[in-house]
Amino acid sequence: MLGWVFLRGDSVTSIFRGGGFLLCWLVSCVVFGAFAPVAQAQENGQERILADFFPYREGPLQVEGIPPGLKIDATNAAVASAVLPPEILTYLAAGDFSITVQETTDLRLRQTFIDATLQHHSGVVVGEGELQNYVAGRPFPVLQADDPQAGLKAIWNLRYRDQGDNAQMWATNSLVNSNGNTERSQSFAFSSLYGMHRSDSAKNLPQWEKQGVYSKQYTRMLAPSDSEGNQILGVTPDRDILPQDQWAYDPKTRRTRKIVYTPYISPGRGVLLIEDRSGFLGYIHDYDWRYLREQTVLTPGPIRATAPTWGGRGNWYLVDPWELRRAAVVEATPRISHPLYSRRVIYIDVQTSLPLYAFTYDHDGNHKRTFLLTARHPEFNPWDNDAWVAQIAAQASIDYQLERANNFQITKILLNRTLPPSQFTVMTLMLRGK
Amino acid sequence: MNVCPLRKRWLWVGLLVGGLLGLQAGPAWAIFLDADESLRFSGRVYNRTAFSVERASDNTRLQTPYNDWNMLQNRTLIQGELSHDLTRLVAGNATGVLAPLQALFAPLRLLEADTLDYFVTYRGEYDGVWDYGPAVFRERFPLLTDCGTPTKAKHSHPRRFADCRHADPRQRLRHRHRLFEAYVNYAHGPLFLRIGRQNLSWGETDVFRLLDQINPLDAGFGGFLISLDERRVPLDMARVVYGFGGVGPLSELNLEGFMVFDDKIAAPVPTGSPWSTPNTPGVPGRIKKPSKNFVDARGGGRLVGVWGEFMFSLAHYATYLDTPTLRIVTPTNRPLNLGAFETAVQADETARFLADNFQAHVLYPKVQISGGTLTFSVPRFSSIIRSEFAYFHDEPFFHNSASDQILGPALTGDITPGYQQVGTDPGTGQARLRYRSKASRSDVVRWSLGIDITRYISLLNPNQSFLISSQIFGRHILDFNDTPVSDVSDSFGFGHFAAPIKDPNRDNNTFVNIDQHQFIQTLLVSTAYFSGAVEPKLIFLYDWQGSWLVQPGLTFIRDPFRLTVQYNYMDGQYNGIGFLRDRDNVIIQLEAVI
Repeated sequence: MLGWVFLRGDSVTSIFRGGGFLLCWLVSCVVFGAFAPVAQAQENGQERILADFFPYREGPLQVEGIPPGLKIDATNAAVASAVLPPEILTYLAAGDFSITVQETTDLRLRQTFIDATLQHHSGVVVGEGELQNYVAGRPFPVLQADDPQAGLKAIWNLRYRDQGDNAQMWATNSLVNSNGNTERSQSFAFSSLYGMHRSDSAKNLPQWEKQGVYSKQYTRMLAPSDSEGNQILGVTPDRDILPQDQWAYDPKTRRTRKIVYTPYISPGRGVLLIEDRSGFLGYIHDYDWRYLREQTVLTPGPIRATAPTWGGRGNWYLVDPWELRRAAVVEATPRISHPLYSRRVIYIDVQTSLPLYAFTYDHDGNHKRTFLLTARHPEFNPWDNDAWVAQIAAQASIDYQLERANNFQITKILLNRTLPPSQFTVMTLMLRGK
Repeated sequence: MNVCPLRKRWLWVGLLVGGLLGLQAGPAWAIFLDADESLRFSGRVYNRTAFSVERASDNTRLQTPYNDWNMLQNRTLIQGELSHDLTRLVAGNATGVLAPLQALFAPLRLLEADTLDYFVTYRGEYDGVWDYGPAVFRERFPLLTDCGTPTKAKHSHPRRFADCRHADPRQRLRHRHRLFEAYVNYAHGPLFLRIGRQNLSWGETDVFRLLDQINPLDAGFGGFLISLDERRVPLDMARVVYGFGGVGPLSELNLEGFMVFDDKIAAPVPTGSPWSTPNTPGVPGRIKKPSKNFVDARGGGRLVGVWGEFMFSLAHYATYLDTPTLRIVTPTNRPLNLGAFETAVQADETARFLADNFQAHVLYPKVQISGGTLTFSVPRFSSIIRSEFAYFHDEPFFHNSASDQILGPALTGDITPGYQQVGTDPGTGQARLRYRSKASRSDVVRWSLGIDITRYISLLNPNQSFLISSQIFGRHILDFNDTPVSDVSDSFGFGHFAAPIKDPNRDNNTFVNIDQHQFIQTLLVSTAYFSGAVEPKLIFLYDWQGSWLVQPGLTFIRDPFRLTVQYNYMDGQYNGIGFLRDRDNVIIQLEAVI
């Protein structure tokens, strides 16, 4: 506003006529002097944002005593004490598994997502169970440790990380006991389609935007045969405060039905809850979120294969090489009575907002479950996907109290292909039913 | 005589054991038979053994005199499913072993299909109880009702009675091989078509069916103790769905229609099977099936919509109900001679005369059904409310009568209700009569209200949630006949609506009355222990006429096996569920899945 006034022709003319060069110099100093810090701040802010998107452009992370190629096991677990949470270090030291260290991988997100972040991040605020003024990209690209809402913002970053416009995945989920025997497993195909907040806003789905539908998910069981043909359609509203909708087709009744969605049940009666998937998939508003710190951690590295290598005690662990990464650590405490947990701690990758690992604790405060997650390496792309996005490739869910683990792995993923919204309807369940 | 069944028994056992040993525990992978993963196979095999835990009651013993801890069933089922997505073959970009077939499918490109696939299911079933079960099933062939009055002697030595014909349910029930389902799917834009042998289920209810009356159920191997899906009988059908997408406030609206050209119905379980209905009228039956023509075709349509939290459907269709109506008649071309009738009754040859001159027509009349469903969630209570309403137009009903109603003319010399004189015998001058028992029709309203709740009960299970599902069913016969039999027995008339089952509580002299208003409550509770390795389940059914089923069960799961132990306890009044109150049994089922 100030600049606009001073640049109006009449005013400029009068100033120069009556004041002379000195005045002009003074005005210039005032004007540019006043704007310089703003521009500088913007530039710094942008640089700060980009620093999180490209934290390894200066080179991979290095921690003294943990070079790439190092093997860490029970004999030298102490060397990793600064970069492993005690919930992992304890079992590493106990000989449950071992770690081979690799160089940090630079997981660069799509430029359109980064551009959308730079364009739309300002003005995004956390509302009651929703974000206000959020358009696309990472909603809170800069987290301040002293911000009381930093934890909440970090989990919104995880929710709205770059997962592409749609994805089709084929996966298995196995329940493994402490002897390494698979007690049960399921094979399924699932796909997700995002209707809102795409990096390119022009590609949003107008009808879903109108209905406030953030995404829809379709799942179809492929094996074993007694659950083959089960289908689930899930609808995730953009507003977290709204309940998720689910419909299911059950081949045993040949019916398509609306079913109860609750994040607290175990899919397949295993050792993880629905909300335990992908770091956290529950209702954000059901928890109080606290930002703990940002730190360098040793974490399962991205894999270069269709499936991860499972190993260690009971084949519970992701034993492909691990790597050092910067992570934001967030703690969640249930606002309402939780059937299993008293709190949850999630490690979120600073560069990609991918979940790295999470821990949950029972009502006595004891560590109950560990969730280890990994992504797929950008250079491993046998499916000709157009870009790398922050989708997980595998998740190990280990319940130390029940001495069992759920090994989940995505064996094939197709990204951003033609996937019409009509495939995410109740009609689809009816048609694909037996 | 027994060598052959024994050999077959070991053949089956060998096949089963070999098949199970061939399965290895490990991650469940869908079995694709081609590189494109378009041709997929899955299968299951199980063996289920049922043991009675109580002796058959007297009225059941007349047909199937088994004792407690007799084997009632040793059923082996093998099911294989094959689905084949033809989309890539038709498009001409398939790879792998099927690629050479692309040229054959090229003409199908004219269909411009978004989806084109087919699905085939084979089911093989064998029940060893007929070969190596108790002697009552293996050797004593149950008697047909034309053998006259059943006696203990006839049961013990049926072959000594030359006039008796013998039913041999073994031939019908011991094994069966079926192309269970076989259909083709085609989709183009919002249009979907499925043609072939298939199952179609509408409605929202479990256990009992309201709008879900399209496919008949096979009650021949366990009745309602077996899951609905296993009992469905697929029909040759054309099904079409058109999706309108979002319409006004509806996020989705779909129109679905079907047409069935098939003559399959829910055939009664033959006498001699442990699952047959006891105490039916003692007249030889003849099943009247629909024909495979347009007049007898089943068909209808429904609208399915989603409006915010609500999912609803409106349906109307015509079908054949599973519960047939019984009509006792004299064959059209064989009117009976009144004199001969009187003579037979006086000579105590009544049973023989009835068997020779009367038939029980088991009728499956076509019934129109209209109704709807409404389902919505209550997230605060982690619950789903399900409701369903169905209006049955002109449903047929059987009438009660005294056991000697059919003997009216022989006892009185008059033309009593149900009889009609159609002439005079030229030789004797006696009246020639035709008989048709009374059957009425009434509109019937059926409804159901159910709730599914998912919640933790930490005291019982700190690690897994419970699923609690409860339903209440109501049935109301609008044009009900409640005339007591005592009011019409003197005139040999017909009275109260009834089930065509003799009432042992009235010395089998009348049939069992049904109530105008019937209510049934169901409750299912299930959870899992040991990370899902053990799944207990409790099912409770209560018929407010005074009968019930309690069905506790336990399933042990370890891929690829499922071992289920289930107890079926039925008791109460001799009506509805209570007709099977002497069939308490224990089931042990071992299943292998791939």
